[in-house]
Amino acid sequence: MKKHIVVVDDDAAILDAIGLTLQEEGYKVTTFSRGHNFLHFIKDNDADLIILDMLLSGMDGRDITKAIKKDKDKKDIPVLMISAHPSAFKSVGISGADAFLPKPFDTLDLLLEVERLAV
Amino acid sequence: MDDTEPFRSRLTNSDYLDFLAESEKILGSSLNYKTTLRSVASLAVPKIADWISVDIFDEDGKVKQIAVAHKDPEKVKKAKMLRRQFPANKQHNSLINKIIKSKKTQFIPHVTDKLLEQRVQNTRHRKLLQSLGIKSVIATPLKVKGCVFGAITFVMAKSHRNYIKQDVHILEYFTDRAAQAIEHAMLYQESVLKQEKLDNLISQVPGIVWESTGHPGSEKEQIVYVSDYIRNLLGYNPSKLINNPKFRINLIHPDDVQKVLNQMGVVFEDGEEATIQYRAKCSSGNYLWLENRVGPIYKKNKIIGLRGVAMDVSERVEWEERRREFTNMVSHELRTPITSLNIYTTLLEKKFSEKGQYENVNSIIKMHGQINKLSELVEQLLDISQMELGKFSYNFSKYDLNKLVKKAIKKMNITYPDYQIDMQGKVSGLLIGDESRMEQAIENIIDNAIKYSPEIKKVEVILKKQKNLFCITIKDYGVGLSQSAKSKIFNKFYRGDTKERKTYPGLGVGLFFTSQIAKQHGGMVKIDDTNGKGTSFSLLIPQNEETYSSS
Repeated sequence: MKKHIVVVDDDAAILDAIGLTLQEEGYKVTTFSRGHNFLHFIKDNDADLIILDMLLSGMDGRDITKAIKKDKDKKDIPVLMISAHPSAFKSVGISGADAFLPKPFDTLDLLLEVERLAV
Repeated sequence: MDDTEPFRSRLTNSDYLDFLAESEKILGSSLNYKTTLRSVASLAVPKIADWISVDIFDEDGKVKQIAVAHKDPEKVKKAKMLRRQFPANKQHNSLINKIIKSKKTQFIPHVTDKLLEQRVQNTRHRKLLQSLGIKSVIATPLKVKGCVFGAITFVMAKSHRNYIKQDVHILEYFTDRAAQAIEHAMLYQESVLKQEKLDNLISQVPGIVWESTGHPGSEKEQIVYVSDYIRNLLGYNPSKLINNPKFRINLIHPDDVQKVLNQMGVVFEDGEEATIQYRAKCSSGNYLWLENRVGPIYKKNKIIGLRGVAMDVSERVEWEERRREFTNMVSHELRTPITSLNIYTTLLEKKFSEKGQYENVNSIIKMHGQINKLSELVEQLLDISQMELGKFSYNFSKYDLNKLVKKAIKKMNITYPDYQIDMQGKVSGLLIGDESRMEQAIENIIDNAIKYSPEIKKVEVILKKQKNLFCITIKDYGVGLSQSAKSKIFNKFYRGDTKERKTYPGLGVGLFFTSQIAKQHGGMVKIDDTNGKGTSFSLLIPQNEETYSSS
């Protein structure tokens, strides 16, 4: 069965590029550009991996991560946080994210992390 | 002695001793020398003299009579009028002028009419002078360190009393004592004025000027001076801090106290000036950012205290914070589109490849290389900015150097597909350090090797290990380095000395970063000798855990 990956990023190009790439690799992809839309979705749905941007135009990806990790049904879904912010590395671990990929990254970096996390 | 006594020419020693003892007391009683000299003058008449006049020469050369005494107040009035109408310094032959010129006592035992006549300017003058009844005169110079600043004139006006030579010495002694008292008072006044001037000057400084003694933070520390500006800046009375170092420490933000004490301690111990930034609490409860420039105070070659000026830099700190934010956001903004470009490019590469459109694949590969370059530049710009703000950070972990070198070479291959980058050698053992920074360091050297080797498109990367030292050698067959360039190559922004060298691309920061990163790992970069055939750099990193400094 195809693995389901949810991607949340407020940048449309990133969302599209990552979505296409993952689909090419055989994953099922659902994308969201707004944090609250994603939260709404994940309440009633499942995923094998969540790729989450840190700054989401009105929401902080770290807060979303904390919420997911607190939810007993969803806390086992791995979260890969991505960010272009230089000091993101430090605070991401505290939020409970399972991995961090700093932007800019290329396809290879992304696919390696996805393979590793979406087991 | 009274008027009816028979002719007596001399004053007895006891008369003088009484006078000297009494006048010493009076002169020492106050710093207001005008008052004391007037008291002494009235003491002197009629015992020591019938008339006494104390004159001071002021800066303009005018003679100012600060005391004149005679038993008869009417006569005093006349004497004052005489001075007013016929000022002393204007009279050519006056005793005062003689004293000014010769700096010596003028003694006229018998004032004859003839002598008096020499000084008369007109009839009225003669009348006034005669009414004073001057019979015998001793005029002594008031002087300090050989400099004459006035005169005391003693006059006998009764025909049966004259001064004799012995009187001169005693009166000179008295005048010397008076001169000392006057000088003392003047010096004190001068010092008070100087202090006022200094205080005024200090109050103009837009910062808190301060001085302390003893090791900062110790029991022995004392705050000896705090300028008034602390009132303006923080709203405290300077007296609150004087000799109350605890109060001063309580003003510092708790998170900054240790740093301040440490840095001040270093100034006290090493004598090196320091600029310390910290937050200080105002009387209102708010915190201000202060920048305190601190230096040592020496006494006999030993440091006994500290002095400094603390200025308000809140505005600047806030601005720096905003700039930092700006720089972070700039990099964020630039990194985001680069990421999607990367991913799209890879996607296209794959698609064209699947369809066998190899020409297109080629173009895409070139595109990807350029995106990499763009990305590298952005990262370099961000690094420069971070380094300048003191935020060039390191994250330490254990990693395999072989894998890292391979990754770096792969990345360089994407940016420069025309070049052949050979990897030779293998090392065992893990390296403890910042993986991405080390990758950056290696990539920078390879980047340089390629840039300065436009003809021969080959670079060699050789891995070796000597005992605990990892050695990565990067060799190129390019234009090489001049002797002068070798010493400057690791300098920030250095791009070569000659016009020809400046025609090569680059920001001049790659090797600077490499050397900084090497240093942070306890290692170094060195330039190997190539016998003129290109350039070879060796990055030496020790494996030893203990040599790494924490970031």
